[in-house]
Amino acid sequence: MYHVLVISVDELWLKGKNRPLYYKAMKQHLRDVFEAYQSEKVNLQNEDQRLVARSVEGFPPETMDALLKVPGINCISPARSIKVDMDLIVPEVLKELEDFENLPSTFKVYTKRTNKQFPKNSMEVSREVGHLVLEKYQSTGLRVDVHNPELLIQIKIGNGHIYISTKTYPGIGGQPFGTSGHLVTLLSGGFDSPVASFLMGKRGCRQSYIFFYAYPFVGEEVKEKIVELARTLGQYQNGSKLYIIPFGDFQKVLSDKIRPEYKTLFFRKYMLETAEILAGRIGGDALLTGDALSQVSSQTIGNITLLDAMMDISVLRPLIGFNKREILDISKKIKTHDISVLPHDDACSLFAPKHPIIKPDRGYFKKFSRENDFNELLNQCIDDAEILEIDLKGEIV
Amino acid sequence: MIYLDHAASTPVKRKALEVLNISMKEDFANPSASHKFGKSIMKRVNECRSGFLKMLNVSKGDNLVFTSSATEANNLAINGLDLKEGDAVLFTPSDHPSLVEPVRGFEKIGVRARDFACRKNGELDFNAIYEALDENVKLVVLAHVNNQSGVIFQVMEISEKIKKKNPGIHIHVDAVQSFTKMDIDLKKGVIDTLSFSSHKLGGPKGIAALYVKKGTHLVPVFSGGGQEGGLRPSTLAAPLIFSFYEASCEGISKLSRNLEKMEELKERTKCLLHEKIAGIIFPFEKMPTSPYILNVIIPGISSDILLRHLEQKDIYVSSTSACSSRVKGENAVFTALGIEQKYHKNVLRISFSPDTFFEEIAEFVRELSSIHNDLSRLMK
Repeated sequence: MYHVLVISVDELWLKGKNRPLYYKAMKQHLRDVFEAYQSEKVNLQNEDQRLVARSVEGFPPETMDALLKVPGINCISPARSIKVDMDLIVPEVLKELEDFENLPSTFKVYTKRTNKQFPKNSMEVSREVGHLVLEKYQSTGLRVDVHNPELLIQIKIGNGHIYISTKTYPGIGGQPFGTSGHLVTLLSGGFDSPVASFLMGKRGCRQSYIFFYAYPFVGEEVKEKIVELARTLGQYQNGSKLYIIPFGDFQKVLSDKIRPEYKTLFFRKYMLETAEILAGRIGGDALLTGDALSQVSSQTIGNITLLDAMMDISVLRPLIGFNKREILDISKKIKTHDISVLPHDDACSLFAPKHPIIKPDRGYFKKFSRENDFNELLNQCIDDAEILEIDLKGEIV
Repeated sequence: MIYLDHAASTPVKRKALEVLNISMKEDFANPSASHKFGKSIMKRVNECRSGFLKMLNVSKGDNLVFTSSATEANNLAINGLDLKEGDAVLFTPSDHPSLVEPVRGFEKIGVRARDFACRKNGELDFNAIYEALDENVKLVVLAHVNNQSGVIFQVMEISEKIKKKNPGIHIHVDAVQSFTKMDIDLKKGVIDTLSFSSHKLGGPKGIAALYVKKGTHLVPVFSGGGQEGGLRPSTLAAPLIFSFYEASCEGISKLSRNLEKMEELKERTKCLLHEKIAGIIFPFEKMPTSPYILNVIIPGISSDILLRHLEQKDIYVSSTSACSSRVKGENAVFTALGIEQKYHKNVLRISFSPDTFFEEIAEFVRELSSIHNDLSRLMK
């Protein structure tokens, strides 16, 4: 088990004067992960534009998994840390290689030196270490490949320490949690909205999830599924909430008043409106949906622009230009795919008209919206919501 | 509350509950203990055992083993037979999973599980069974009353014919939906094992029984302290057994009277439903069915949605057998019962108890009709 992690942050070089703020957010998130997963206090320090975490007990795989879900991390290298001394490098590299069950057949040494006082430059260090490694492992057939090595031995020479690592795990990148505002994320049981949530989480958005629970038209299993999705997505956040809005009765009331072919469109309108009310109550900056252009009839350009024209808040749609295949690929990566794939009743499809409107009559839509004020009913729905708090481990608090 | 899901489970009868309460408090000794206290409890357990055997009208020497559930009893009867590669089992795929799954489990060791599919409307195909009987068939698994459809299988008649053709075949019958509700007479000795459960007849959950004909060799599923002649080792749940027995005695004593009452209730329910719900279908009406179970198909509206609307009114029915209600889309049981796939999501099972009042049925139909009208309009 490694006791030192060298954590590279993503995009923070873009930040100019705001950089300290972003570092602060990132460190807070990392500290919270350590607090949740490690039994002792982990030392976390800035060193040469990187964050270095040190633990006496070591970092188990669970901590690593959680760290790799922290937005804003470019990559993590578990490392061996030694004093700034050329003589210590090779013995430590050899120790690192001893841990390999099967040594790869090609390698390369890559050195980065930020400590300009160090007597040798990067090339010299790489050459010397590479030579001694080759000498030691000559009999195994190990050879150098500078273009496409199977094993990359990285040596980082800083002012206080030298770090040696052979593994690098890519993070999800992006920006630290909470640095890009607070979104109200509309979650359905499908593939798209969880992927949309992940993408914006990566951009540093704190999220509150909202689910429209159409009981008794749909059953408890849909709610269970949403909770599972929110728990999975919550691991990319540092504390989130799921608002389960009882919506079945409202959908029934609404269905009785509108033209059948407009049902889906109006359901969406009032879902967005409810999410907007919730955003107003909890300080949300924008809404987030999993819409992909023209994927279903309610996501046509006409319907989307019509809906957006009625909103006072921005609706973010990060998947708007995505193909289904691309969405599925990400959902597999973030482990929401296997939850989304479970069959469930969908209230929208239960109510779905035979021929949903694709080019809506804007006059009718606007007139109905003007003449029917559901504000009180929608507020009531939020008042009656079940609220679940989710921690960064994805557990319900 | 209007509870119409008695085939899934039914309230504990008043007297059975009294017996349970007292026994839970007083009969705490282990019935297998060597002291007087334990022995006196074991004596009463054995009296119940004899009483149950008497209810089944069987001769001395036959045995009755107490188990924790009918699922366990069915597993003991089926898995306990120690079948070998090359043997065959006949079963009905429309039966309860506790019959179907152990049979299918045999396939792993090379035993052929042959299902005889039902004809349309849940009718069992007798000829299919007789034709399938060859020297490899070692076990035939039957349910007296199908738990979903309520269709009655003439198990005595079928068993007699099977035994006539091949007396060596083991016949296991699941009587969970019929014990204390319909006549069961095992005197002819053609049925080898038969299971029934307490919580379906007004006793507590966690207790059931397996009748085992004299001379039947079963291999126990568990190993342990040797109770129940080694067939089902574990401490006997005496209070549950006493209560189970009490409920059964009450059921048996009122069997004929209740049967008549339930037939009338079911008929009246059907008439009312027919009158109030346009397009309603009674899929098994041409078959002999248990008067305790009524299936209906309400085309166009998912039974899950109806179920949830009804539960909001504190009315409880079943959309599929509770043990498989999470299954979506095509339902293998319904397919085997001959229900067209387009109706699989539209089946409601209504099941009664002798304590069901017609007024409750009338209220249920009123609510169902109103929900049905509402939903028909909404889902246009």
